[in-house]
Amino acid sequence: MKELDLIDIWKKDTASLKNAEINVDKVLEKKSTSVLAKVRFILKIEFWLNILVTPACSIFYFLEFGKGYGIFTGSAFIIYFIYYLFLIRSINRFDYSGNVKQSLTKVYKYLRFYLLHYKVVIWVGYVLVIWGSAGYGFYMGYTGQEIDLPQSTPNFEFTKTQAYVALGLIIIVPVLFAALLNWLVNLIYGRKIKKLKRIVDDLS
Amino acid sequence: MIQSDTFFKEFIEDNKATIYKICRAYANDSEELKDFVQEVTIQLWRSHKNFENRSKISTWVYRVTLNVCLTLSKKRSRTIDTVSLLSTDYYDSNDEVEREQVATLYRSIKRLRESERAIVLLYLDDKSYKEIAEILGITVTNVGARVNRVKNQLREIVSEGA
Repeated sequence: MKELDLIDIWKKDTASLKNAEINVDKVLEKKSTSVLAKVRFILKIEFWLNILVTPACSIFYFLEFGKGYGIFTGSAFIIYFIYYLFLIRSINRFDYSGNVKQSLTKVYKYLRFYLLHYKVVIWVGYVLVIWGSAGYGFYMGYTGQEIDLPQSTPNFEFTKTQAYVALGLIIIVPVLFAALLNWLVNLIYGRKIKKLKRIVDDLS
Repeated sequence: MIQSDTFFKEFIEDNKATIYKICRAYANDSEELKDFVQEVTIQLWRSHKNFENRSKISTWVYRVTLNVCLTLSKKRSRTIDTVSLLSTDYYDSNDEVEREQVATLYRSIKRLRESERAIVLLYLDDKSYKEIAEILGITVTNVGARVNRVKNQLREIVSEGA
């Protein structure tokens, strides 16, 4: 087939598009289904959940452990909010009018960062925090040590076997849960990220 | 520059052929095609306020459409594609050969990689190398080499009958 033929065939297709309808008003009532719109939606949910939960935590720390704890956690949460707002705002400001290579690179970077954000949240939130808090609680309960905080410390009476089982659960369950979440996040975004990377590499 | 909703509607009407053709080259089925066209319209609406005439309107339309399609497109299912020509498509030619040629061309385009598809779509729409370079964000020299390679590849697939 000659070179010109391809263009010629392509042009013939305009006939098949006469019936293609775009109802602008109806379409604009709908929400974007782009991957970034989904990311923004999830970030907004997280943001508002954090807004509800974290001030309560700060007040609790303030009342239970003292002023310093309250101020420290409050400041950390404010930084966390700013970080969320920054993520949401940068996604809001993105539009697809840049050249293909530039836009896809940006989407790829957003998604990669978002994936990293989740991995950090998963491993810190579900592994380190649970290890730290549950491990510390276990230690206090098992040894019956008093701590210097104005809260009551329960004394557990574990046998050695029970203690090993409990310790094992404290170590393994958060890791398994984090690994499962990690796998899910990779399943949802990993393939898309790889595809975008491949296209960007192809254009490079 | 787009100034009003009415203008935007007219603008979409004028460019719907471009939008449909590109979306069709990336969508796996008619549902996906509908979603892609819808998303492109939404993104054109979102970005039209920022359009500052720094590039041609057609460049902007191609950029948004290709960006949306490349971001949304999923791995092709193993089933034969159903968007080459849809049963709902109005086709005013009685020439069955012509109709088959168009369908074969779409099927062939779909066998190319996503980035190659973008290049070939722009080539088939008769865009200059300069405009292709502006749309894709690659150099004109690079466009020249790629267009030749992809064109030959497409011709081979078409001649095999896709």
